[in-house]
Amino acid sequence: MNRRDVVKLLSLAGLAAICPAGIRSVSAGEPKYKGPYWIMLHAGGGWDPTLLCDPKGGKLSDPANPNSWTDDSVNHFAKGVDVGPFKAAPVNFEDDFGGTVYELYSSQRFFEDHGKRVVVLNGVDTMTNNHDTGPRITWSGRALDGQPSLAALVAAQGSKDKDLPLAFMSWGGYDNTAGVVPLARSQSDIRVVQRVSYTNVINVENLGNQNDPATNFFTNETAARIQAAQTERLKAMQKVQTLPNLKAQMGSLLLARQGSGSLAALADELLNVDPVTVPTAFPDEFAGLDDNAFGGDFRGLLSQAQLALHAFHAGVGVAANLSIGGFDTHSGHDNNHPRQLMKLLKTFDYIFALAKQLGIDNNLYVVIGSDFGRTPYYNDGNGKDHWNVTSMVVTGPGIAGNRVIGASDAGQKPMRVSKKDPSKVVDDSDTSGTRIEPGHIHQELRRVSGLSGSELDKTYGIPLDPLPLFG
Amino acid sequence: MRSTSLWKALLLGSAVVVPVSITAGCDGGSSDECQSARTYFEQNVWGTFMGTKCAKCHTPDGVAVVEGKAKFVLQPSSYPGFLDANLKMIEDIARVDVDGKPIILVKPTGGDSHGGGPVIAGDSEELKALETLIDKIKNPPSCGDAQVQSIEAVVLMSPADTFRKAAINLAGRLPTADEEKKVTSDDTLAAALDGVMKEDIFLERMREMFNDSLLTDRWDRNADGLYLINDEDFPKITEIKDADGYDAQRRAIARAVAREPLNLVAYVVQKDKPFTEILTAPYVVANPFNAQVYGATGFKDPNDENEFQEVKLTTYDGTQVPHAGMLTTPAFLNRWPTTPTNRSRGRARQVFKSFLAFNVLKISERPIDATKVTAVDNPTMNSQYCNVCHIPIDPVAGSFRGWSENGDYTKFYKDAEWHNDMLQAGFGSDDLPPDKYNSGLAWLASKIVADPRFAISVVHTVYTGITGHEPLPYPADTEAADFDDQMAAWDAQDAFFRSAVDTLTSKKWNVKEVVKTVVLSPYFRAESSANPKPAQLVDIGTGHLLPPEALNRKIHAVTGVHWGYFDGDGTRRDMLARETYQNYFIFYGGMDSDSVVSHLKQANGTVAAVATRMANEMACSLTAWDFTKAPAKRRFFPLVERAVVPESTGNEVPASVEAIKQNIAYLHHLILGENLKPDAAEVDRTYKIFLETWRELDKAQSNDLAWWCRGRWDPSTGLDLPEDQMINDDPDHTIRAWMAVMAYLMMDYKFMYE
Repeated sequence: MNRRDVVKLLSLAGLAAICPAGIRSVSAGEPKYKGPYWIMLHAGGGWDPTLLCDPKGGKLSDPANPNSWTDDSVNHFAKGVDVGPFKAAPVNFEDDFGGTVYELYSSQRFFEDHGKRVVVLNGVDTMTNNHDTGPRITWSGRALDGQPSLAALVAAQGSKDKDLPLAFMSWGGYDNTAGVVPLARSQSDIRVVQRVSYTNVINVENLGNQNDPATNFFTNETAARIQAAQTERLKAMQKVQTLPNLKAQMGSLLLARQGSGSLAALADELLNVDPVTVPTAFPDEFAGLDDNAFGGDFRGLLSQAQLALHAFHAGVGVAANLSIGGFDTHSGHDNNHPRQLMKLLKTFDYIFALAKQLGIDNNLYVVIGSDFGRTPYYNDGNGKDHWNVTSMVVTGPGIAGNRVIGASDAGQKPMRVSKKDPSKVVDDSDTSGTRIEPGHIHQELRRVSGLSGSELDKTYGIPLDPLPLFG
Repeated sequence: MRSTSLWKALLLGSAVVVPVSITAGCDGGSSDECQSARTYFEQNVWGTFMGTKCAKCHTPDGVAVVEGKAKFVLQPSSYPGFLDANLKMIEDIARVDVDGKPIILVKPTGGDSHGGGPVIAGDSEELKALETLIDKIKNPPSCGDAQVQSIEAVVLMSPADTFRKAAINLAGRLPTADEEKKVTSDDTLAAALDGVMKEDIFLERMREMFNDSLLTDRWDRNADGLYLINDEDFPKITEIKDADGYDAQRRAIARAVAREPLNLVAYVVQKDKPFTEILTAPYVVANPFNAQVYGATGFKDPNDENEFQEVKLTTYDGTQVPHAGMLTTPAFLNRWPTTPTNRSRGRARQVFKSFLAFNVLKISERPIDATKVTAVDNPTMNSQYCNVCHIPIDPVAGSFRGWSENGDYTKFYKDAEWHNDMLQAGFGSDDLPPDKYNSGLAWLASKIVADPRFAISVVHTVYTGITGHEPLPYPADTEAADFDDQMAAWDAQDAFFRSAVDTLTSKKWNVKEVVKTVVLSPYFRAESSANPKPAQLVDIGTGHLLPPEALNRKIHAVTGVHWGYFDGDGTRRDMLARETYQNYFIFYGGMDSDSVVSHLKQANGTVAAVATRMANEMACSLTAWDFTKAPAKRRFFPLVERAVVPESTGNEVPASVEAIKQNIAYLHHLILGENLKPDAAEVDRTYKIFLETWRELDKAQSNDLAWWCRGRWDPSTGLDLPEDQMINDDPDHTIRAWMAVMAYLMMDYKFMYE
């Protein structure tokens, strides 16, 4: 009997009938999830869109002195660069390795490489400069405490009738689930995933070895017997339990056990996958460099992406929060911010390279966002503080790319867009228009995801008049 | 099991209590009864209208305060002790009269040019309630605050069961036979808890509870701690980092430096010192390891990380370091770093969060009006969108003066100006006195521990650390159908916290008293309830997913063996230990205090998979090994032999079945803490696994035992057993049947949760 037979046996043994109180119903053995998949790419700390997609530029008080930027200079460069419909900031990050300088990425290259697939939303008004509220409104669409993130909602929707142990993976950002779906903490080390995936195999490393085959702890019949008895016992305990938080915990364990069965699908997927390194992720550009070139957090972010995409491909995941910090640059902004920004953008590049290799690039949504924006001026420490106006970058099926929607003015204040045709920017004083809020973007993302009108959508509604941002 | 009301048992110290009605209280309930000003305020003023109508504009970031400069400032419910703070505000305002009438009664009806106009009518019940409140403030009734809020019909665990749960939670062990015999009442339970709290694992638990907020264990990996020390002040660190002679000890020294803040917690607990010393201690604690950095000597056991000394440090030029407990440790200062423009504001925010139970950012969650955002000069002082948080934060940040970005003490000279573009150093309305400029944090610490919110923060930390539950938020949705029940739950918990604060402060700030209070409360020990209102019970009883480090301890407590393996050099590697977080630690919901900063609260598919793997591996390594021992020495199978089979030639063997069921009942108690008789339904369910597994193997005549599951070595040491003791096969088919039972029990809810 192979693993899939065991899954079938578990189903026959009664697991398929479980319907714990609360969250949702699941039946084991359902077909694996086939998309769409969602990645939320979070720039932790509040990013500066003027270094990417909404550059303002600056002026030198002394043209002969390249450091004589006037106080009202939003940026310490002259102006943005046109790349199709986009205005890219002339910002990059490069590092010296053994005497050779390598450019990690630049804003311009990002739009040259991916402009056709992305839509940029500028002048987004988060209405906050608060590190608690910012990620919440950016990733849930509302400032309300306890609001589930979009990733949690799409994961709950996608796993509604399926056995998905990693429906929602998170490495940070805003990952409140409001209990609609279990949150999976994931390690980037894919070897660990392999070890927990075959719980009845003693020596996992021997799987597939014909000469020295793997050995089980129990026969498959016994393993199924144990699991079935455990389920019966837990259901019996839950039935008589009267304290709500204990009852809920029992329900979550029942649900979790159903989801653990198909982890093996991910293990299968990962059998021939090596943990990503910077040179293996970008063999054409960075072959020969150190595994952790450009900083360990860059490789960490790549590893998050690698596991998330393989979990999608294996059919066990729906959504993932990927996160990298270092954007809260209250000092040394020009030195520190581009480095983190380019790690983020280069990871986007890797995501689509690997997604294409896995054949899921046309079924993948990626949303890039942050807590909020940064001030249109520098403080005394050459840093930038918190600013409520920001940008977001979105791509995915049903969202036409190669577009910029919304704008901020020269002082990085939000401008409005026409309510009927958001591609038209109007002055902020024109009340026939509206400012773009994260909630508008989330309404649209819910629409393209198929969430709109669902119970989840109604329960966690966004009280704004819809804005047809994505057409 | 005893059925009891929630607070009668807890607050009145009654040992035998019968269920009582939910509205019981020493002065709460009907309007005829005496009510203190606080109780009346909460029930008739704040809860009915002030929390919505007045707080709408009068919170610190509300329009009345920000734009109208109103002096009447109401704290939101996220503010610790907000009811007391707001009542105090009303008391202060009530002293001000307008035309002979308290201004607090004039403004709400639109008088005295109230910026918000009339918000309550002049003949309303609301105004009458306000009048009654003012009367109670000016003429305090003789009754005290409502201390007793009961939740009806909560059934508590017995003292013995409570102690088992507490011993696992607090000391990572099972009760001893002597303790099982002695713990028969709440008094003996309390006495046994006193014993538990003297153990080393309890010190570790206290470290864990406080690390959940401090996150300084972020440095406790690899040798990160070594790099927190300033080598000019403490040159020995260079030798420790580089010299071969420290190879074996380097990791322990790094850990001791990294854990200085948490070791201070452990030391204060160990010595029953006032818990205020975690901030006010004029010393750093050194154990035999970080003592090597600071040159302290005289330890009894050079390997005991829980042997502490108080050490006063001096910098390279002989300047005495002005210690302020954990605030001045390199681990704290580097975990919450600063920059030249941040000016320790991040540190200050953490001070509020960890020691004043106050998330400052919660007071500024109202939307920013983008049309009014301007590039103002010095926004942290001058922009209403920034200064709402910076007003409380900046003075505390200023008290960090003299402590560098790297956590080094650099002195701050009296004549040196502090940044003139931020509020002066201080705390609340108090400025840092000039003669304290070089010891700002010590001064700040003295102010913090005198603030009522400090005691609240200690109680909250212990409560969350033990139960896994955050304090209930104040119910916000007044339209909710179960609002009254939510309020009852919140009231009960609020009363409990205030009682725990009283206990802490009246018992010389001994935090162990808070631990005991929590363990003895229904929040920890409730096991069921006949109360039909779930919203009242939402936080009652704990069944929280054990964090990996706690499950790791429990596995050892129950089995005597750690789940893990031994390296080639004999070093033990636990699969769930924090030190080996590259294994299952993060998967199982652990936190590394760096990128993962909270515990997983609910199981998911990977958690379930790790638990199943653990159960299978432990069953494999323990079962045959236990049978290699004489029955009297066996931990798991003292009542059966390998040859005891349930059937013979197709017929049941009654004596054997009885012995098997007795052993199963014994295992249910050992592993799950259940007290079952051999004829109990759950024993039958477990027996069925044994029987069907045995039949399956017997039918197949399968005698082979997988190599890893054989009794060839001692899993507690990794050492081989003598050849003549080894078990290499399973001709009776019972070892694998018992393995199935062991795995079944070790993956159980009651094993994974506490």
